[in-house]
Amino acid sequence: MTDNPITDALRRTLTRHADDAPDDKGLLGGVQAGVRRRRRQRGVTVAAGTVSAAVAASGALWLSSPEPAPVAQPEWTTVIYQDIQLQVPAGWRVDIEPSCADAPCGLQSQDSAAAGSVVLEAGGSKSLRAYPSSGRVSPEPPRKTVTKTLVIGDREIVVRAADKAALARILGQIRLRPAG
Amino acid sequence: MHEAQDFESWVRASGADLLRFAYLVLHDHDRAEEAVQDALVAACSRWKRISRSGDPGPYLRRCVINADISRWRRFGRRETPVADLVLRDDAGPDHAELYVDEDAMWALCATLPVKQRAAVVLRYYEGRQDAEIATVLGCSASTVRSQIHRALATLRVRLQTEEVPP
Repeated sequence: MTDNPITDALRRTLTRHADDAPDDKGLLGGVQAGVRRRRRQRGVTVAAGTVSAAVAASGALWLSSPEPAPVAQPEWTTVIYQDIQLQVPAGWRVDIEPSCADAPCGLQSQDSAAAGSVVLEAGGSKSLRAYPSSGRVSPEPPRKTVTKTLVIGDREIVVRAADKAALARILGQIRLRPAG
Repeated sequence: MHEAQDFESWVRASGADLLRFAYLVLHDHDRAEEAVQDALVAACSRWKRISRSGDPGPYLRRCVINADISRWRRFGRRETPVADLVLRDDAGPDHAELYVDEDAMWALCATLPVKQRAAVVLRYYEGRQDAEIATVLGCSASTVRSQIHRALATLRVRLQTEEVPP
Protein backbone atom coordinates (compact mmCIF):
# COMPACT_ATOMS: atom_id res chain seq x y z
CA MET A 1 0.00 0.00 0.00
CA THR A 2 1.44 3.33 -0.99
CA ASP A 3 0.73 6.66 0.53
CA ASN A 4 -1.34 7.82 -2.41
CA PRO A 5 -4.61 6.15 -1.46
CA ILE A 6 -4.11 7.44 2.06
CA THR A 7 -3.31 11.00 1.08
CA ASP A 8 -6.05 11.05 -1.54
CA ALA A 9 -8.52 9.83 1.03
CA LEU A 10 -7.22 12.40 3.48
CA ARG A 11 -7.84 15.20 1.02
CA ARG A 12 -11.34 13.98 0.21
CA THR A 13 -12.19 13.44 3.85
CA LEU A 14 -10.96 16.81 4.99
CA THR A 15 -12.65 18.64 2.12
CA ARG A 16 -15.94 16.91 2.80
CA HIS A 17 -15.84 17.51 6.56
CA ALA A 18 -14.79 21.14 6.17
CA ASP A 19 -18.36 21.82 5.09
CA ASP A 20 -19.49 20.69 8.54
CA ALA A 21 -17.38 23.31 10.30
CA PRO A 22 -19.22 25.91 12.41
CA ASP A 23 -20.06 29.11 10.54
CA ASP A 24 -18.61 32.46 11.46
CA LYS A 25 -21.89 34.37 11.89
CA GLY A 26 -21.48 35.03 15.60
CA LEU A 27 -17.68 34.92 15.65
CA LEU A 28 -16.88 38.63 15.62
CA GLY A 29 -19.57 39.43 18.17
CA GLY A 30 -18.33 36.69 20.44
CA VAL A 31 -14.75 37.90 20.15
CA GLN A 32 -15.74 41.50 20.90
CA ALA A 33 -17.67 40.36 23.97
CA GLY A 34 -14.66 38.35 25.08
CA VAL A 35 -12.37 41.33 24.65
CA ARG A 36 -14.69 43.52 26.73
CA ARG A 37 -14.90 40.82 29.41
CA ARG A 38 -11.12 40.57 29.52
CA ARG A 39 -10.72 44.33 29.86
CA ARG A 40 -13.22 44.41 32.72
CA GLN A 41 -11.39 41.58 34.52
CA ARG A 42 -8.08 43.35 34.06
CA GLY A 43 -9.61 46.53 35.46
CA VAL A 44 -10.70 44.69 38.58
CA THR A 45 -7.25 43.14 38.96
CA VAL A 46 -5.51 46.50 38.59
CA ALA A 47 -7.89 48.11 41.06
CA ALA A 48 -7.30 45.34 43.58
CA GLY A 49 -3.56 45.72 43.10
CA THR A 50 -3.81 49.46 43.62
CA VAL A 51 -5.71 48.98 46.84
CA SER A 52 -3.19 46.40 48.04
CA ALA A 53 -0.30 48.72 47.23
CA ALA A 54 -1.98 51.57 49.11
CA VAL A 55 -2.51 49.41 52.16
CA ALA A 56 1.09 48.22 52.11
CA ALA A 57 2.42 51.75 51.70
CA SER A 58 0.49 52.98 54.72
CA GLY A 59 2.19 50.39 56.89
CA ALA A 60 -0.41 47.70 57.18
CA LEU A 61 -0.93 46.50 60.73
CA TRP A 62 -1.98 42.93 61.32
CA LEU A 63 -4.68 43.59 63.83
CA SER A 64 -6.06 40.13 64.01
CA SER A 65 -4.22 38.25 61.38
CA PRO A 66 -4.34 34.48 61.39
CA GLU A 67 -1.02 34.42 59.51
CA PRO A 68 1.98 33.02 61.26
CA ALA A 69 4.43 35.53 62.68
CA PRO A 70 7.01 36.51 60.11
CA VAL A 71 10.56 35.49 60.66
CA ALA A 72 12.29 38.55 62.07
CA GLN A 73 14.73 39.92 59.56
CA PRO A 74 18.02 41.43 60.73
CA GLU A 75 16.63 44.90 60.07
CA TRP A 76 13.81 44.45 62.58
CA THR A 77 13.67 44.30 66.35
CA THR A 78 10.89 42.05 67.51
CA VAL A 79 9.43 42.51 70.94
CA ILE A 80 6.70 40.48 72.54
CA TYR A 81 5.07 42.29 75.42
CA GLN A 82 1.86 41.30 77.10
CA ASP A 83 0.75 39.07 74.21
CA ILE A 84 1.38 41.68 71.60
CA GLN A 85 4.18 41.28 69.11
CA LEU A 86 5.75 44.54 68.04
CA GLN A 87 8.33 44.85 65.31
CA VAL A 88 10.26 48.05 64.93
CA PRO A 89 13.22 48.97 62.75
CA ALA A 90 16.44 47.64 64.25
CA GLY A 91 17.74 51.12 65.03
CA TRP A 92 14.95 51.85 67.48
CA ARG A 93 15.23 51.73 71.24
CA VAL A 94 12.85 49.70 73.27
CA ASP A 95 12.44 50.47 76.98
CA ILE A 96 10.22 49.33 79.79
CA GLU A 97 9.16 52.43 81.69
CA PRO A 98 6.79 53.41 84.41
CA SER A 99 3.37 53.85 82.94
CA CYS A 100 2.08 57.35 82.33
CA ALA A 101 -1.46 58.55 81.92
CA ASP A 102 -1.47 60.57 78.73
CA ALA A 103 1.85 62.21 78.04
CA PRO A 104 5.15 60.46 77.63
CA CYS A 105 7.13 60.55 80.85
CA GLY A 106 10.36 59.40 82.35
CA LEU A 107 13.46 59.32 80.27
CA GLN A 108 12.71 59.95 76.73
CA SER A 109 15.03 60.62 73.87
CA GLN A 110 14.78 63.84 72.03
CA ASP A 111 14.34 61.80 68.94
CA SER A 112 11.33 60.04 70.36
CA ALA A 113 9.82 63.36 71.16
CA ALA A 114 10.56 64.57 67.66
CA ALA A 115 10.07 61.35 65.73
CA GLY A 116 7.47 59.77 67.99
CA SER A 117 7.10 56.59 69.96
CA VAL A 118 5.00 53.51 70.33
CA VAL A 119 3.74 52.73 73.81
CA LEU A 120 2.23 49.44 74.84
CA GLU A 121 0.28 49.95 78.04
CA ALA A 122 -0.22 46.71 79.87
CA GLY A 123 -2.60 48.02 82.47
CA GLY A 124 -0.02 47.71 85.21
CA SER A 125 2.70 49.94 86.46
CA LYS A 126 4.97 49.44 83.51
CA SER A 127 4.66 50.08 79.84
CA LEU A 128 6.83 49.35 76.85
CA ARG A 129 8.03 52.22 74.78
CA ALA A 130 9.74 51.93 71.44
CA TYR A 131 11.14 54.85 69.54
CA PRO A 132 13.76 55.80 66.98
CA SER A 133 16.90 56.63 68.86
CA SER A 134 19.91 58.79 68.23
CA GLY A 135 21.18 58.24 71.78
CA ARG A 136 20.38 61.71 73.07
CA VAL A 137 18.19 61.87 76.10
CA SER A 138 16.03 64.65 77.35
CA PRO A 139 14.03 64.44 80.51
CA GLU A 140 11.48 66.88 79.25
CA PRO A 141 8.32 65.63 77.67
CA PRO A 142 7.31 67.16 74.34
CA ARG A 143 4.95 70.08 74.52
CA LYS A 144 2.63 68.83 71.85
CA THR A 145 1.91 65.36 70.58
CA VAL A 146 -0.33 63.70 68.06
CA THR A 147 -1.56 60.29 69.07
CA LYS A 148 -3.27 57.34 67.51
CA THR A 149 -4.55 54.44 69.55
CA LEU A 150 -4.56 51.02 68.03
CA VAL A 151 -6.41 48.09 69.52
CA ILE A 152 -5.32 44.49 69.28
CA GLY A 153 -7.59 42.19 71.17
CA ASP A 154 -8.09 43.93 74.47
CA ARG A 155 -4.77 45.74 74.36
CA GLU A 156 -4.31 49.35 73.48
CA ILE A 157 -1.23 50.57 71.76
CA VAL A 158 -0.66 54.30 71.74
CA VAL A 159 1.43 55.77 69.00
CA ARG A 160 2.65 59.29 69.69
CA ALA A 161 4.49 61.78 67.59
CA ALA A 162 5.17 65.48 67.44
CA ASP A 163 3.06 65.92 64.33
CA LYS A 164 0.91 64.05 61.87
CA ALA A 165 3.75 63.50 59.43
CA ALA A 166 5.88 61.91 62.12
CA LEU A 167 2.89 59.84 63.22
CA ALA A 168 2.39 58.58 59.68
CA ARG A 169 6.09 57.74 59.45
CA ILE A 170 5.98 55.71 62.63
CA LEU A 171 2.83 53.91 61.59
CA GLY A 172 4.58 53.06 58.34
CA GLN A 173 7.57 51.64 60.15
CA ILE A 174 6.12 49.41 62.80
CA ARG A 175 4.37 46.07 62.71
CA LEU A 176 1.93 44.89 65.36
CA ARG A 177 0.15 41.60 65.78
CA PRO A 178 -1.10 39.34 68.51
CA ALA A 179 1.79 37.30 69.85
CA GLY A 180 1.74 33.55 69.51
CA MET B 1 -9.61 53.31 15.22
CA HIS B 2 -7.53 51.91 12.40
CA GLU B 3 -6.06 49.07 14.41
CA ALA B 4 -9.49 47.86 15.58
CA GLN B 5 -10.87 48.03 12.06
CA ASP B 6 -7.93 46.04 10.79
CA PHE B 7 -8.61 43.28 13.31
CA GLU B 8 -12.32 43.24 12.60
CA SER B 9 -11.70 43.19 8.87
CA TRP B 10 -9.41 40.21 9.24
CA VAL B 11 -11.93 38.33 11.37
CA ARG B 12 -14.70 39.00 8.85
CA ALA B 13 -12.51 37.92 5.95
CA SER B 14 -10.69 34.96 7.47
CA GLY B 15 -12.66 33.88 10.50
CA ALA B 16 -14.48 31.17 8.58
CA ASP B 17 -11.18 29.67 7.39
CA LEU B 18 -9.88 29.68 10.93
CA LEU B 19 -13.01 27.94 12.14
CA ARG B 20 -12.69 25.31 9.42
CA PHE B 21 -9.06 24.70 10.38
CA ALA B 22 -10.03 24.42 14.04
CA TYR B 23 -12.87 22.03 13.29
CA LEU B 24 -10.76 19.79 11.08
CA VAL B 25 -8.09 19.56 13.76
CA LEU B 26 -10.31 19.34 16.82
CA HIS B 27 -13.19 17.34 15.33
CA ASP B 28 -15.71 19.10 17.52
CA HIS B 29 -17.92 22.15 16.87
CA ASP B 30 -17.84 23.55 20.40
CA ARG B 31 -14.14 23.00 20.86
CA ALA B 32 -13.41 24.66 17.55
CA GLU B 33 -15.53 27.71 18.33
CA GLU B 34 -14.05 28.08 21.83
CA ALA B 35 -10.48 27.70 20.61
CA VAL B 36 -10.92 30.21 17.81
CA GLN B 37 -12.65 32.70 20.06
CA ASP B 38 -10.00 32.34 22.79
CA ALA B 39 -7.24 32.80 20.22
CA LEU B 40 -8.81 35.89 18.67
CA VAL B 41 -9.60 37.50 22.03
CA ALA B 42 -5.98 37.06 23.06
CA ALA B 43 -4.71 38.31 19.70
CA CYS B 44 -6.86 41.44 19.65
CA SER B 45 -4.72 43.36 22.11
CA ARG B 46 -1.54 42.40 20.21
CA TRP B 47 -2.99 42.85 16.75
CA LYS B 48 -0.71 45.66 15.71
CA ARG B 49 2.38 43.57 16.33
CA ILE B 50 0.87 40.40 14.88
CA SER B 51 -0.29 41.99 11.65
CA ARG B 52 2.95 43.89 11.21
CA SER B 53 4.97 40.70 10.86
CA GLY B 54 3.00 39.41 7.88
CA ASP B 55 0.02 37.14 7.39
CA PRO B 56 -1.59 36.57 10.80
CA GLY B 57 -3.04 33.25 9.60
CA PRO B 58 -0.23 30.89 10.66
CA TYR B 59 0.21 32.68 13.98
CA LEU B 60 -3.51 32.45 14.74
CA ARG B 61 -3.65 28.79 13.80
CA ARG B 62 -0.92 28.18 16.33
CA CYS B 63 -2.91 30.19 18.88
CA VAL B 64 -5.97 28.06 18.17
CA ILE B 65 -4.06 24.85 18.86
CA ASN B 66 -2.51 26.29 22.02
CA ALA B 67 -5.84 27.70 23.19
CA ASP B 68 -7.40 24.26 22.91
CA ILE B 69 -4.53 22.60 24.73
CA SER B 70 -4.75 25.22 27.51
CA ARG B 71 -8.47 24.81 27.85
CA TRP B 72 -8.18 21.07 28.11
CA ARG B 73 -5.46 21.33 30.70
CA ARG B 74 -7.48 23.86 32.68
CA PHE B 75 -10.44 21.56 32.85
CA GLY B 76 -8.35 18.49 33.55
CA ARG B 77 -9.29 16.77 30.33
CA ARG B 78 -6.82 14.90 28.30
CA GLU B 79 -6.85 13.31 24.92
CA THR B 80 -6.83 9.57 24.78
CA PRO B 81 -3.33 8.53 23.77
CA VAL B 82 -3.22 6.66 20.53
CA ALA B 83 -1.55 3.68 22.17
CA ASP B 84 -4.51 3.13 24.47
CA LEU B 85 -6.92 2.55 21.63
CA VAL B 86 -7.72 -0.98 20.71
CA LEU B 87 -7.76 -1.63 17.00
CA ARG B 88 -10.88 -3.47 16.16
CA ASP B 89 -11.50 -5.27 12.97
CA ASP B 90 -15.12 -4.63 12.12
CA ALA B 91 -14.71 -6.66 8.98
CA GLY B 92 -17.93 -7.56 7.27
CA PRO B 93 -18.44 -9.28 3.97
CA ASP B 94 -17.58 -6.10 2.00
CA HIS B 95 -14.39 -5.49 3.85
CA ALA B 96 -12.43 -7.83 1.61
CA GLU B 97 -11.47 -4.99 -0.72
CA LEU B 98 -8.81 -2.53 0.17
CA TYR B 99 -11.03 0.48 0.54
CA VAL B 100 -10.27 3.71 2.23
CA ASP B 101 -13.56 4.75 3.65
CA GLU B 102 -13.79 8.47 4.26
CA ASP B 103 -15.73 8.10 7.46
CA ALA B 104 -13.15 5.65 8.73
CA MET B 105 -10.42 8.08 7.72
CA TRP B 106 -12.17 10.90 9.60
CA ALA B 107 -12.54 8.73 12.70
CA LEU B 108 -8.92 7.61 12.50
CA CYS B 109 -7.67 11.18 12.13
CA ALA B 110 -9.34 11.93 15.44
CA THR B 111 -7.08 9.39 17.10
CA LEU B 112 -3.89 11.15 16.03
CA PRO B 113 -2.15 13.50 18.49
CA VAL B 114 -3.31 17.06 17.95
CA LYS B 115 -0.09 18.30 16.37
CA GLN B 116 -0.03 15.45 13.87
CA ARG B 117 -3.63 16.20 13.02
CA ALA B 118 -2.79 19.86 12.58
CA ALA B 119 0.13 18.98 10.32
CA VAL B 120 -2.07 16.74 8.21
CA VAL B 121 -4.80 19.39 7.90
CA LEU B 122 -2.31 22.09 7.01
CA ARG B 123 -0.68 19.90 4.36
CA TYR B 124 -3.60 18.03 2.82
CA TYR B 125 -6.44 20.48 3.26
CA GLU B 126 -4.82 23.90 3.26
CA GLY B 127 -1.99 22.85 0.95
CA ARG B 128 0.69 24.63 2.99
CA GLN B 129 4.40 24.02 2.60
CA ASP B 130 6.57 22.52 5.32
CA ALA B 131 8.03 25.89 6.31
CA GLU B 132 4.59 27.41 6.85
CA ILE B 133 3.44 24.35 8.78
CA ALA B 134 6.58 24.65 10.90
CA THR B 135 5.60 28.22 11.78
CA VAL B 136 2.17 27.09 12.89
CA LEU B 137 3.44 24.17 14.94
CA GLY B 138 6.42 26.02 16.31
CA CYS B 139 8.92 23.45 15.16
CA SER B 140 11.39 22.85 12.35
CA ALA B 141 10.46 21.81 8.82
CA SER B 142 12.11 18.43 9.37
CA THR B 143 9.93 17.89 12.42
CA VAL B 144 6.91 18.70 10.28
CA ARG B 145 7.92 16.03 7.78
CA SER B 146 8.44 13.59 10.60
CA GLN B 147 5.03 14.39 12.10
CA ILE B 148 3.30 13.87 8.78
CA HIS B 149 5.23 10.68 8.10
CA ARG B 150 4.19 9.29 11.47
CA ALA B 151 0.58 10.32 10.96
CA LEU B 152 0.42 8.60 7.58
CA ALA B 153 2.11 5.51 8.96
CA THR B 154 -0.46 5.32 11.74
CA LEU B 155 -3.34 5.77 9.35
CA ARG B 156 -1.91 3.18 6.99
CA VAL B 157 -1.58 0.57 9.68
CA ARG B 158 -5.09 1.13 10.91
CA LEU B 159 -6.67 1.07 7.52
CA GLN B 160 -4.81 -1.99 6.35
CA THR B 161 -6.93 -5.06 6.00
CA GLU B 162 -6.15 -8.71 5.39
CA GLU B 163 -5.26 -9.45 1.84
CA VAL B 164 -7.95 -11.27 -0.05
CA PRO B 165 -6.68 -14.22 -2.05
CA PRO B 166 -7.49 -14.00 -5.79
